[in-house]
Amino acid sequence: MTRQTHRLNGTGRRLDRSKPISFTFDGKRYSGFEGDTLASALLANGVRLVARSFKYHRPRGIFTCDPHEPSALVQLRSGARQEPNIPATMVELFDGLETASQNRWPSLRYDLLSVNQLFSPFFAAGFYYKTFKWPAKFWTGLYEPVIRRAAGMGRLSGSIDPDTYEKIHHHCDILVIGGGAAGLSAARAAAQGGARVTLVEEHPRLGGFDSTGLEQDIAELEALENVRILPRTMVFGWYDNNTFGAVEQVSDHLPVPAAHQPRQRMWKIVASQVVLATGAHERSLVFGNNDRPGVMLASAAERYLRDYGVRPGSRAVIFTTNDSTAGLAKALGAAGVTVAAVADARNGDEIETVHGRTAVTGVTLRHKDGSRRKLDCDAVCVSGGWNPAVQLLAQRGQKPRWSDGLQAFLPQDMAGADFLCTGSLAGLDDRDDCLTHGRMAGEAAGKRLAAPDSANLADYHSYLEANEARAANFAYFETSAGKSKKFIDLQHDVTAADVSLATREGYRSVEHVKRYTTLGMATDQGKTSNIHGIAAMSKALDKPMGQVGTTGFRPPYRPVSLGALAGRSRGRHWRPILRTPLHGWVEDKGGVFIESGLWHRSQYFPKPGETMSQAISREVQAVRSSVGFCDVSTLGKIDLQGPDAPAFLDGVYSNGFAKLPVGKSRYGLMLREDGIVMDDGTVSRLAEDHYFITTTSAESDSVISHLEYCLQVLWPELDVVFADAGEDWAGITLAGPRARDVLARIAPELDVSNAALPFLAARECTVLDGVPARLFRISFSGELAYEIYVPSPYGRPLAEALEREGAEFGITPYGVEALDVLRIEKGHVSSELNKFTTAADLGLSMMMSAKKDFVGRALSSRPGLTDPDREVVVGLKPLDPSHSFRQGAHITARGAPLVPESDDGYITSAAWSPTLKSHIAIALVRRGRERLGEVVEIIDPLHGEDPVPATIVSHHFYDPENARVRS
Amino acid sequence: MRIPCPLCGDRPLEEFTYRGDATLTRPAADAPMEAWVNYVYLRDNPKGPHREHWRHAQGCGSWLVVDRNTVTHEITQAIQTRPGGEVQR
Repeated sequence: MTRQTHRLNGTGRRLDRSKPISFTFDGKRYSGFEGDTLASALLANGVRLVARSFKYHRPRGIFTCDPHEPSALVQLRSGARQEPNIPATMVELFDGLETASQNRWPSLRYDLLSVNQLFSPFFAAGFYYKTFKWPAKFWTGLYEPVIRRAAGMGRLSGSIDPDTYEKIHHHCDILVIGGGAAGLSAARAAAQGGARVTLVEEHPRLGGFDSTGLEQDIAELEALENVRILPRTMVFGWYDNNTFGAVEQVSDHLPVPAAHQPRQRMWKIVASQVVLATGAHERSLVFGNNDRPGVMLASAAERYLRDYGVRPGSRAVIFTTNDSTAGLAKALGAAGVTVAAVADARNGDEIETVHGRTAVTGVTLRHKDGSRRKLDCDAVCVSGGWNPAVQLLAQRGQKPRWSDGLQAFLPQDMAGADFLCTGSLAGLDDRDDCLTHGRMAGEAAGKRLAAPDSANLADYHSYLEANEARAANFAYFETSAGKSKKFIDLQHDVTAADVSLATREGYRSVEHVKRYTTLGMATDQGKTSNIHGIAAMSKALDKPMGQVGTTGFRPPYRPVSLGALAGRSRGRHWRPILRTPLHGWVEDKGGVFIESGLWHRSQYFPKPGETMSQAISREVQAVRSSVGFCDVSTLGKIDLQGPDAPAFLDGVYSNGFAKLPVGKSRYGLMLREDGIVMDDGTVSRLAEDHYFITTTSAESDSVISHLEYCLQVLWPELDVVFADAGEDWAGITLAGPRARDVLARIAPELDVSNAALPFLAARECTVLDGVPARLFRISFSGELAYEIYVPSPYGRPLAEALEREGAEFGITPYGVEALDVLRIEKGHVSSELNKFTTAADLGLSMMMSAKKDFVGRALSSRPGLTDPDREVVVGLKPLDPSHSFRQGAHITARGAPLVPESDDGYITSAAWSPTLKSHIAIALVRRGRERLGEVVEIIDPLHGEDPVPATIVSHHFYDPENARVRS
Repeated sequence: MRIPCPLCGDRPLEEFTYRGDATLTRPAADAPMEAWVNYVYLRDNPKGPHREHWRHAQGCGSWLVVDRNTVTHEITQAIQTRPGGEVQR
């Protein structure tokens, strides 16, 4: 274990020195203390080189003390919990933490890909566009894999994340974003007015850059009952109506999450008022080799000294444009660090270039008179001023405004109807100013809750205006001379020369330069670099900063893990299973399930030793010869009541319902307003003003929504109500020549004779000694059949009763496969309702009433839908009954060339018919009804099948006279 | 985005489904084909105020007429389409 060579005694207020911590970086063991970040601990151990850059693989160190760190991205943990691309500055150290550097091969110190630097002319602005334009096929085969490997950042584990993530909805009166001095003050003022306040802070602790002296304020705020404080929580997005997305890092600072705790929690926060106290990001300066490990933001150096007891080196040079570095020189001195020089750009002094490769070894200073001086040092602390964190405001569409006095982009509007800005976001840099103005913002937000216009913002605004008027910050961004690479965007390796080249090539818009050079497009979104890119453009185009403007910002403010976005919606929670009331019974019977939408439906019921097709054929034959039953609980069911129900049904179905008598069922066809068939089903009239409707399983939700639209929007005057009864009823079809015998046994009080209960009869009755049931003599199979509906809990008892009472007749449960074969044999349409077909296409022209208006009537007569060339429903039988074909196979005239123009349609349903002892199909065929008897070719080149000759026939293969359903 | 459902109160966008222009009226049964084509297919795409139909699908099921600004997403009114639905919050 190495010694903490750069750790100071005395300072380090965040540390608990009684709790040493051991961790590894690239396999080597180091020590730190509780309270350290990975970055502070690495610095304490004298580790300077921690990463390789994205494009040139240049050595990089720790540049900031914040989560928007551009350089020090590392990989955390191992195994399934491995996580790439995490800034070392936001990693709270825990004992045993394993970390590794990224983007280097074979090792961090000897990275072979750093030869990329030698080829840097090729990597200039827009190099992807210039270099890899042609040939196109080289992209996927060569360029992309090579580029991806070279520029690859961290790696995923490839294993399933063992941790959980969750989501929470949260409502509050006032949301304060940012727990620095201004945010603390605002939250307290708002809470004292009685509001429910939520304070969100991305760091683990409140207090901002320097919480010294704020301990009392923090403690008092924490004690308030109406304040909720969310540390380690980052607001990543501001959406309409003050809806915010935030991610709380619940367990990232722990070795593993505590029991029943998620790793991260996604907060969706809705607030009446928001106080933005998002602070400011210190910016760097642009000078030669300004990316070398050892170059660090001045405020970061100050915080490492004060909060973590870490000195950045032993000889430091400060390069600054402003007064915020005044305290740093003192702090460095107090820590025993020699301040070799302070290059203050305001005096004309600057750093021309940094020396050293994997760490700073010195700098060349350039003085006002042009003279140069080389100095040895091992740390460079740089401050180019401060960028207010306007990103969230920009997400709401605000274009930030350039302030010449503050030399920064400020919020365009410091206050809107539902938000206020304060602190360094609003341009304040003095802590007392932040505390004072934060209180003003908090009080104003509180007053607005009672009455939106009640708060007088005159003082609030004049305070900020006076501050800006006083400011006279120095405009300086880039060293004037020097030949070394000068980086603007450390994370994406964009240099000042790249931006200059882009402008020479004609790029004028900041948005275009951003995309062409990739400036600010890395995961830090250019928080430390964007302003320098704008300054470089301003210089090159000779346009003021304000006219160049900033790019837009979109969520997320910082990267958000996919786990947090997914939350609990993974695995089986991503796709819930719908089970019918008969599910358990099917399982007990050894039935096989098939997924159909979200439903698990019984597919077939194999007997020992049976194949799937054998089982299906047996089930079909049982229905044709004796009796079977099938779970149809997945059908949509709607209970509809009201005196205007006949008029309503007439409006939504293409066929007439006004004359449907009580006690009768009728097949119904529903169109969309554009004339295409939407759904089919049955409508049964149970009483004068009471109907029971079934829809297809797939469309049950969309039909409900459609019917609601028709009722609430088109015909709100109709006195009708309906309810989705889909889950209320279990449904079983009882089908076959012996169905009546079985029905008589389960409903002994009912007269089941053909005269008393004819085809399409609808009855409310009781089954199984008193269970209320709805009984409809409806047939999908072409046999004598009944649909029996009982309250869901009685689904299983009904199935068991049918099995028991039908045993004498060899009753056979059947699944959706046999159901489909039976309906194909009978020629009922189902998959033919494919959102392209009309009633006429489906052979259902007789369902189109000419006596009334209905949804879809008018447009079903438009030329495109009445074209005689349309594909219409027919049947197909192969010349050789054993020749099979599949759904989706196409149809051509015999001898037609295999070109798209020969396509005459396609197969929509196909099956082996055990009844006809032949493969059969239903197809949509161009002018099909005129072509009955024609022999066509079935072609299926996608499956590599040889063409199959088949005859076009009526799709009513079985019992076309419809005698059996009425028997 | 949040929509003030007159029955349920302020609710998040995810609970609603969008349909479109609420100012269109279904043509009379004997209206010319052009009127039907206009009703079913032709839509303006305004920048600014828009009166539109939303359904509170994951809530009360109401179809609502919502006045929304397509630029700012500001919602100035949300009422039920049914008689008596003028009651707003």
